[in-house]
This record gives sequence, structure tokens and C-alpha cells, in this order.
Amino acid sequence: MQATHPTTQVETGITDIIRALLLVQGSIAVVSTIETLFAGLGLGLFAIPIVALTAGAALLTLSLARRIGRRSRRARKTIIWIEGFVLTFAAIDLILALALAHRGLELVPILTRIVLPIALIRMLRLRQVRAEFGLGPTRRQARKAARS
Amino acid sequence: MTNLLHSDGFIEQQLDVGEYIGSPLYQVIPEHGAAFVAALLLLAGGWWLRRTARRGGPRSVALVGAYRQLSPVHRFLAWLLLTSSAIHAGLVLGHEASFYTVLYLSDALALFIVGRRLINGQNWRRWARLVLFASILGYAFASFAGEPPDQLGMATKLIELTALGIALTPTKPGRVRRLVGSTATVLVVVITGLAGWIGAFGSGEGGHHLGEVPPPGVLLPPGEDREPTAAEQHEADELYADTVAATAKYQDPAVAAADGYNVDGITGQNFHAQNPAYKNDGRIFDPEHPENLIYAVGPTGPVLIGVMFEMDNLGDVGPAVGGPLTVWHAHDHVCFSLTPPALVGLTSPFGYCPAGSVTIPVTNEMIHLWTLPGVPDEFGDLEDSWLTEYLAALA
Repeated sequence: MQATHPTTQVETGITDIIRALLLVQGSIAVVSTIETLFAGLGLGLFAIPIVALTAGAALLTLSLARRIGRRSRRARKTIIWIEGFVLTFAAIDLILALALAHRGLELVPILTRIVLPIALIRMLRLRQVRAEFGLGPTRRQARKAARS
Repeated sequence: MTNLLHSDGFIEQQLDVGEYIGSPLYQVIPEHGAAFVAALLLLAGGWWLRRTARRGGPRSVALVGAYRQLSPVHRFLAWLLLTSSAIHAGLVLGHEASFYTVLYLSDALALFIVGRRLINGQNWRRWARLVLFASILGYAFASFAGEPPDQLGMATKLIELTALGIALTPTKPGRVRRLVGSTATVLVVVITGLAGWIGAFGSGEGGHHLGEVPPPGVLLPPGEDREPTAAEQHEADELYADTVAATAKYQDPAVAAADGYNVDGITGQNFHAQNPAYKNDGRIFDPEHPENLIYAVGPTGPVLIGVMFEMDNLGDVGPAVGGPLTVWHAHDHVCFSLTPPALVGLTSPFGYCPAGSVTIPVTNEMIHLWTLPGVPDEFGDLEDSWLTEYLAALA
């Protein structure tokens, strides 16, 4: 059974921001799934893996939005991994844009694929958020606290 | 500087040679620059308030004090509301007076008032939901009506969607309440995303900023606002006749396969069979060696409907031998899947490609030539409805 830390707090704390952001991110993935279904009409069987992958990503993100509210440690870790993947693909797209089109990413991808994942990872690694999940400070945070 | 050619006419906007015009979905419309400045001014205003509060300014102390009483999520919400308000105020400054400016101003005021109520600890939730729903759905309706969304518009809606997600979080615990709030957020995001697509594709009828524009994913080069000369018409006719004659043998996909075209798995009405040997062979617009053959599946099997010529290198400008009759184009924001390798669509209004795919920012220039008898336009676009009728008549 996975470790969870139930809370009676509603809409307070940073975890609520994380939940709201994940909800929006998951909803965007739902939109992507619908788009992929449309695109898949012309691709036939080729589309099945990509539709399945996108729908899976949408369901997983929405489920994580729910589970993060219950302070699930596994959900916290999974989110960090997923946001890492989002950032990796954003980095690939940025490199392709710089190399092929001599420009960066546009405003919306910067927000949804760079700012949002970085913000989520950053918030999940905050000391007070780690504490909400029953985790102690990281070594770096402990060192910093000891120094101050 | 030159005029820009568009599928239905000419765009008044002028660009330098070598530049493209694309869909506003992937750009910021110039009139929206003031909105960026307004958002930055909001940040500066926040910094100034904090500074004056430190110096003991009574109103600043009260405002900053009230803000600090808020929970992190409500502070975040306040910033989201005020940022959207500032952007809408900036939009008023960037546009000439019209029905839209009245809407922008109303939106800016309403969002500001809700943000202020939140900071002051007054009842805000119901008002926030109402104003955010109205603002987001108003944008969606404008998009459904053919208004092209741009990057600033979609970024602003993202801000509002996040704010709505927070405002819809129930104050009382309960699974059903939470499920209703989450479902409503998902639905509004989906509506906004689909409206973004519809607006982007529907804007070919003319938007309020740029007039007629290419659909998402298409880049048009600078064109010439004129009829073709007799020499250009002759060149285009000759090229067309030569290509039709040279490619007639490829009606049989087996012949195409023998010459190196990838005809395996022909499907749909727009199957491009590429010949890798012709990809970077230095031959441009060569009727004997088109880089791609295009097939459609008819009632009796594959039908060769045309060819696609392609430039060898990225950034090479295709020769418009037929003047305005032979306009090359490129594609942008194409999603390329790695599982399996295939083109799977365009970057969405929210900036994502399907999971496991990367964005090809721009492609080589290309031009289509349609070889079917009686085709409405020999070069450029082929109407789907015409092709469907043509194929049905073959039965």
C-alpha cells in the first residue's frame, strides 16, 4: 500500500497550486488526445500507438492531480519524472527550432512545456512541500538549514 | 518588400523576401504588443507597492498586509486574475475603438475587481467563476466565429483556465464536489483548445487583424499581386504537360516501386510516395524526377492524382517559373511521432504535440502539381470535394 498523508486542509498550501496546474496540464493532454484521434483518421493503424500514448498521458496526469491532493509520495515522484520527460521533449523541440528555423519556442509552449514543468518540479522539491508528504529535507536543504 | 500571395487572393501586409507568412496561431499579432507591456507594468506595480509598504505608506501597507494574509494558492490566483486584467487593459490600448475594445475593457475591469475582492478578503469565488467563464467562453465564441487566435490570446486563456481551475476547487471536502469542479475545468480547457483550432482554420475568411491568412501549418512566401505574363503562363503550361506525360506510367504503383518510390501501404486520399534517391539529387522542378508521387485510394484501387516537387535544402527558395501560378510553400509546426515514425498533426493551440512526438519547426519548400484530367487548379491546393466526386465517378 502506498504511503499517503491525508489532510483536512482544502485550498491552502502549495500542493493546491500543484493540483490546479496538473489539472490544466491533464486537460491539455485530453485536447491533444482528441487532436490525435482526428489526425489518426488519415493515418489508419499507424495512429494507434500515438493515440494510446497521448490518452495514457492524459489519464495519468489527471489521476496524479487527484492523488497529489491525498499527499501520495508515489504520485509526487511520478510527477517529477513526467515533468522531466516534458522538459526533455521541450529541449529537443527548442534545439530543432534553433537549428532549423533559427528561432526559439513561442510564448505558449514556453509556458506549458518549460515554465509549467519547472514550476511543478520546483514546488514539489520545496522543503515545506516535502514535509507535507512526510519527507525530510534534501541533503542540500539540510546543509542550508544548518548553516543558517 | 512585396505583397503576399494567399490561396484566395493577396494579403495587404508586406514582408521582406525570404520571409514567410504563417498562421497567427503560432505568432503574436503586432497589435498585442501593448498587452505585454501592461503585464510587465503589473509586475513593476507589485514591486512598487511592496517598496512603498516598507516605507510605511498607509494604503500600501494595508494592501500588502491583506495580500500576505492570503494562502499561497490564493496569492497565486490573485496574480493570475490581475495579470489577465492587465493584458486585457493593454489590448484596449493596442486596438482602435471597436466592439472588441469594449469587451476587452469590461473584461479588464471585471478581472481587476475580482482580484481586488480576493485580496481584500471579500466574497470573490462566485464572481471569479462568472467572470472567468465569461472571458474564456467569449474567446471561444469569437474563435468559433472565425477570429484567429494568437499566442498572446492562448497564453491569456491558459492563465484564466488555471485561475478557473482554482476557483472551481470546492471549499468543502467531498469527492463529488471535487469531481464536478475537475470535470468542469477539463471541459472548459477542451472547449478552448477546440475553439482555438476552429478559429485558426476558419480565419481564412478574414480576421480582424490580418485579413486572409494561411491555415495553421502552412507558410507562404512573398508573392506578386498580378496576373501571370504570357511567358509565365507558357512556362507553367509546358511544365504541367511535361509532368503529366512523364508520370503517366506511375498510374501503376508497381512501376513507381520499380523506380524507387515508397508505395507500400497506400491509404487515404493524399498518400505521398517519396523517392529517397531524388531527395537531394540537385534536380529542381524536373518533370521526369518528381520527389513524391501522390495517390488516392479509389473504388478500384490506388489512383495517381499528382506529384509533389521538393527543394533539396531547408531555406532554398523554389523557382516560381510560372510566376503567381507556381507558388511554392513550406510547412511549420509539424508533429513527428517517434512511435512509429510518422507525421501525426500540428502543434496544438496549447503548444503541445502528441505524446512521444517532436515538433519539426519548418520544412523544405514544396509545390503540388495535380495530374488528374479537368482538375480545377493545376498547381497548389486540390479541393477535397472535387477529388471525392472524381473518385466516386470512377466506380
